[in-house]
Amino acid sequence: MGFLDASALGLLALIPLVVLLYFMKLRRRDRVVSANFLWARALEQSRSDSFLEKLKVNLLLFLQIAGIIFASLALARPFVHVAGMLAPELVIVIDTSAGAQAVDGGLPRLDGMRRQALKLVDEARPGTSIMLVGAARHPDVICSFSRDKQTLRRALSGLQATDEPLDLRPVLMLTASLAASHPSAGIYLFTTRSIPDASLLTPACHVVPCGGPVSNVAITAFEVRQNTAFVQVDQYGSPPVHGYLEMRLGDTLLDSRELTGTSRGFIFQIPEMRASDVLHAHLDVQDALACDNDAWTVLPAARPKRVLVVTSGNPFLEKALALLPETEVYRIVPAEYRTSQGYDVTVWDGTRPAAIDGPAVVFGAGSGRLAGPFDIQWQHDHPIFAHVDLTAVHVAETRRLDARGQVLASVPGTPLMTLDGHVLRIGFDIFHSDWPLSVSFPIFMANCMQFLEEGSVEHLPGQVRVGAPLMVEGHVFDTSRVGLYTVSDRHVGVNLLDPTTSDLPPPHAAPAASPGGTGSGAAPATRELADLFLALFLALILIEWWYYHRRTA
Amino acid sequence: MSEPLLDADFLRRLERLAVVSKKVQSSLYKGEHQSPRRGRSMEFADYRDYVPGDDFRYIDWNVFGRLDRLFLKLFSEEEELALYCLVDTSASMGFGHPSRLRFAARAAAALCYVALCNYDSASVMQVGAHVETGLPLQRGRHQAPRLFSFLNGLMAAGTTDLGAACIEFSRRQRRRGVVILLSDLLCETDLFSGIKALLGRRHDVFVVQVLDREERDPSLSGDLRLIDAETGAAREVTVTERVRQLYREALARHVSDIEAGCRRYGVGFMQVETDLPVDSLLLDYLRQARLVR
Repeated sequence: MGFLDASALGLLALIPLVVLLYFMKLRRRDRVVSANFLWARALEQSRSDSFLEKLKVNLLLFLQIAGIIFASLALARPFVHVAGMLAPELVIVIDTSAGAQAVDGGLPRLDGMRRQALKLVDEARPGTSIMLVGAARHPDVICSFSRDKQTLRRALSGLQATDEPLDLRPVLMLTASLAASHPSAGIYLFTTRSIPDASLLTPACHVVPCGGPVSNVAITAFEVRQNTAFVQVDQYGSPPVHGYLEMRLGDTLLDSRELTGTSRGFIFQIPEMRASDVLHAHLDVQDALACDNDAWTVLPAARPKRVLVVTSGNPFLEKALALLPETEVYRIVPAEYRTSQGYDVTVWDGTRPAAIDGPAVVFGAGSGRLAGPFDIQWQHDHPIFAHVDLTAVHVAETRRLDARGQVLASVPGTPLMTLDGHVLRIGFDIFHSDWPLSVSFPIFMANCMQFLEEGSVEHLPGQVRVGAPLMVEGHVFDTSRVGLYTVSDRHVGVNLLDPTTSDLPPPHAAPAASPGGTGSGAAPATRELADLFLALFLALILIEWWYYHRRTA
Repeated sequence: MSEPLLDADFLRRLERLAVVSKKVQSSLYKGEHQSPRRGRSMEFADYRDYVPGDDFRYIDWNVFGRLDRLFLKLFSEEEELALYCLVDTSASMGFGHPSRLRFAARAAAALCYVALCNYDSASVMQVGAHVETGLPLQRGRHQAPRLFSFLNGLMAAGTTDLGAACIEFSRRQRRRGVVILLSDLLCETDLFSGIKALLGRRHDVFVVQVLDREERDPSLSGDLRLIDAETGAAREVTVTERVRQLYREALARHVSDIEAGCRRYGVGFMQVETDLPVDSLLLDYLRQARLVR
């Protein structure tokens, strides 16, 4: 049991005062009687009576003390974790992200969460319908609502942690959706991470933080430019982890550096770099999380990317593309355009192409006009928007886009950016926004060029983030595990490279503002008991009133 | 106490009663009660051998004819009865509606009137911690107003020590008689030391305990400071139903102890309440107790 307002327990200090009042002289009425020796005998008899009789004499005192206790408890707003036990439906969400692999006290955090979830299943009333959901980059329903505890136990026992980072936003959206569709359900979110935003929590959702302090060291960045490899190694927690960072080219050990116990970057020179060679960075350490100790990348092809810009003249666009490494930019006016054959990506600026052959970015696509300003919503987790923030971008005017393909960004009334295959359509003209003046514009263009050229074996990326979909010639490959993947004799490194996941601070309870996020440990959802104690207090007052008048009657 | 103790109608009914003593009394005056002395009444008592000088008229000649011996017939002497009414006038007697003292005074007046009407003598004594004032033995019906006046003027005050008062009375009154003690008996002192002293003087003792309904079943409740009307001693009591029950039990034990003591010493005992009519007391209760006939 916990208290929402423990300061009210200070009222308990009144108990000694009440006892003191009982020790003080009671004001009595004088009554003259013919003789009081018989009363004295009656009192002696009363005092020699049983303990129960003595108790009756002090019953008012006990009632008053109990009244103070109940009143202070009611004001302190106690709560117990019972709602889950009482709820006819139960949703158990378990963090299966890479953080759940972190070894904490000799055991992975997932084992602790699994144990608590199993306890919850065992303690649930017979007939309780329970759903099991795994949460990593996306929520994954492992077992839909079931009353079969054996099935649920099996599902929990077989639960494995992925190497993916945890994205709480879709998980919390799922819990909110479940809370709306199943109002009587109790939802338990076992997580290794703290909830950043309490407003996303529903009252029915009880967050159970799992994990203690651990030390971890991780590769959080791994890039290759020309003959140089850059590796960022970050230290998290204390004490610092010592070990070595090894760099291998294929099977050959190029170099080994000692870790100093602090976060820092390492630069390695690669003497003989050939296209498609695999560069492997490895941390030889003993730390909490293993999947962030390796990173792979495949050296890029020698041929630079060829980008065709069809424009009447746009210095911002041309400048942003010219900054891209290993990229050759060709510019033509719309009237001269014939075909995109021979180019990796075509960028259409303010011109609507009659036909599109090959990967393309079209600025000013769509029809009609819609005046701004707009509040832009975009898919933060899409690779095109990696490190791109559109919050400060102002669009004065846009065209209406068909919702074909995947809507990547939208404004009220119309999509703003859509991805249809390898064609990215953008509704507004660059000159109708201040985006080119923002640092996010060249980053966006770089992401576009990298994303759109992917999809063929020839243009496989050197590395992708774990969990990100890898599309090769129409096939989607699962990348939920860190490692070196092989697709049609070509390699792709799948790396975690996520500081948020590698940083493993002990999660804290949900913010107090959250109605359901006050618990800790494996306790079920909360139920306030203030009403109960208030009712007990009122009942005591009535009993005391009745007893006092009965006594003096 | 301006109203008369007894009304005329009741007095007329009392004239048909007489005080009875279980013991044969001795008196200097002729009366209607049997005397231990042999006398000249018509009631045969015993025989004894004739001795020269005896009156020939009392020789039983029939016996002489059968036995050829001279026996003298003895007749019992009839003497007057002395009735002593000891009325407790301690402060506790002032309680009740009517007060216990008022009830005791009326009972004493009725008994004395019965005695005076039967050529007996009657005395009233006011007792408390000791024998206060009183009227000595009165004879003749014409003394009734004087007795009534005295009884009407009694006031409840002071403390109680009935044992000491009875001892003092027994020392003062050497003439045997019927002693009726009218009191609420609410005192912790030893009553029976006084009873024994009275019995030692061969008095015929009868105890009438006068209580009222409030004393038997008190209506007190709450947090009280009970002050003893006689001693002024205070005692703090939180009166609950449980305490009231214990009080009733304590009173019952107190009365039971007195009754048992009276039975042990052959003393008559009766408990009455103040709301009992005095005519019922005389005509029913005391008649059943054979104090009057």
